Amino acid sequence: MSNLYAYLTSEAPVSRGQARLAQAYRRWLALKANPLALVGLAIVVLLLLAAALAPVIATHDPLAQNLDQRLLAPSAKHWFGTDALGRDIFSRIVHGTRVTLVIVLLVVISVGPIGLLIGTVAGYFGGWVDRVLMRITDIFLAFPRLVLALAFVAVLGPGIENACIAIALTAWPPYARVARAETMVVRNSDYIAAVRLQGASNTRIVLKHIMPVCIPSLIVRTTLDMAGIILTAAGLGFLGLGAQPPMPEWGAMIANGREYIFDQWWVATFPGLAICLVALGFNLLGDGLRDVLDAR
Amino acid sequence: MSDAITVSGLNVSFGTSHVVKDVGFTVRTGESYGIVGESGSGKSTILRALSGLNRDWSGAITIGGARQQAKRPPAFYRQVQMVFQDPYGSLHPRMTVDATLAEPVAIHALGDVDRRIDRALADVGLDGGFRFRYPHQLSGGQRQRVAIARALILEPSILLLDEPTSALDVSIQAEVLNLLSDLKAARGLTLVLVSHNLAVVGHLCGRVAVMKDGRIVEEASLEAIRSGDIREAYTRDLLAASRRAHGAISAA
Repeated sequence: MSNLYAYLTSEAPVSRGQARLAQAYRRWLALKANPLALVGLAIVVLLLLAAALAPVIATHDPLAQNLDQRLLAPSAKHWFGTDALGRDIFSRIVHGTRVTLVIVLLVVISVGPIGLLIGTVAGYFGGWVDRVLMRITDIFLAFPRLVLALAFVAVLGPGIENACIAIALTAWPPYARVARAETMVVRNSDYIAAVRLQGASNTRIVLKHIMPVCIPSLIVRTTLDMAGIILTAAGLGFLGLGAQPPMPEWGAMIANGREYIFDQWWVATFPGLAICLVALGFNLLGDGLRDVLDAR
Repeated sequence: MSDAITVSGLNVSFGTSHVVKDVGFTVRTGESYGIVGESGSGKSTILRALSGLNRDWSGAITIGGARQQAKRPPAFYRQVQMVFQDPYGSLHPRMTVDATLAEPVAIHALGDVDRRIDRALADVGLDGGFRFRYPHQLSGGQRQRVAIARALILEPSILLLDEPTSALDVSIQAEVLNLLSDLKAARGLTLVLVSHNLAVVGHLCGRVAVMKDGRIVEEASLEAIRSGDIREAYTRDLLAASRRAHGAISAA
């Protein structure tokens, strides 16, 4: 154990791998010092575990209807009660983590690279490239996210994939802006001048030297944005334009519970709490990561 | 001796301000040429035009016998390299020393990365323990050594130095200057050193150009400066200021 500690904290690493591990370890120490970030991390890990082990954790089949047992209050048998079709709400929430994660991952995978590429190219080259790319970004920024997503879903048809595409199309502009702002800061720095003096091509400079500088702030931005993405997905689900029944999506579950909210409060409350908790978790983690990754 | 660098009629403007005015000088192969002047006199701008970083200049620049255009061919960068003023800003904060030094080797597809990096670090007096550190784990002097190693790993014949010691502690300055003069002797480098400090220039250079407001007002040998055999009142002022700050130049 003490060997491992010495290996990770060595001031003179002997290989690329050790240098990278030591860097990661220093960041972990910084994150560990922030209790709120750890709470966020715990929530996110919980979400990942719930998604991975959903069939084990869930007490019932999330899709099995049982009209004899509809709208039962929380009890030992149904921890969070049952909904209007007699489905176990706890099991549906647990399985809903998968839907939520799929949406978040699809959006992040498509949004991050697009925003990063557009932002760094615009920031690095400047001039008319910058003007054209940023005006396109401005156009997308001008629309409220949910409204634009609604329009896309209306055109493409409802469904979880289309909801993801719609969210991705509306989520990339802030990423491009963050990446562009970072790029403009480092573009004229001496270390970029130095690689230019080594004869590096523009493509190489953007990919290998500018992007690594932008990535930490984009990771932070993404983590903070995940809450918003989850809420938008839930909003689309609530409006019936996201995940389609009987898929256990949290927003759609709230919509189903709306009619019974005064008499059978648990139908809408538990999925609402789940959304709240996950959004909070990502936000806390994002705040913590900002402190860790921005420290230079 | 042949000429490594010939500059004539060099003009550089940024917008409406005319920063370098009709500058001309010649640096012989293997010579160390100093450019001194106060900040804003245009000395660093000349260096950036020579290196190809600044492409908006007019006049004639000949390096290694070839007339240079605004855009330089890849081979140019193996011939001419530059060390920057601020070692805190000239190393990529997210790259290890190893990655920083591997980059020029990869760009020019020279191969044999490990051996080249080990040798470049040894040449600037850093042992292998520094190879996988990040810049934030290095002191200012160590960073500047890495920056020098990065410039020399392409084995250039001409090294441009933009105030290479002014961001360092006084105790480290002499160390870095000695390293540079050792490397110059070992490799037969041609140096162009820009500084506001005559003592620093005097340590390395045989010939000095004094700049004021974008013009070279005087060019003199180090001996002439040491013996006070100078024409311009401005040079005398600069010399006096430098003596006050750093003691007699002959002590260097």
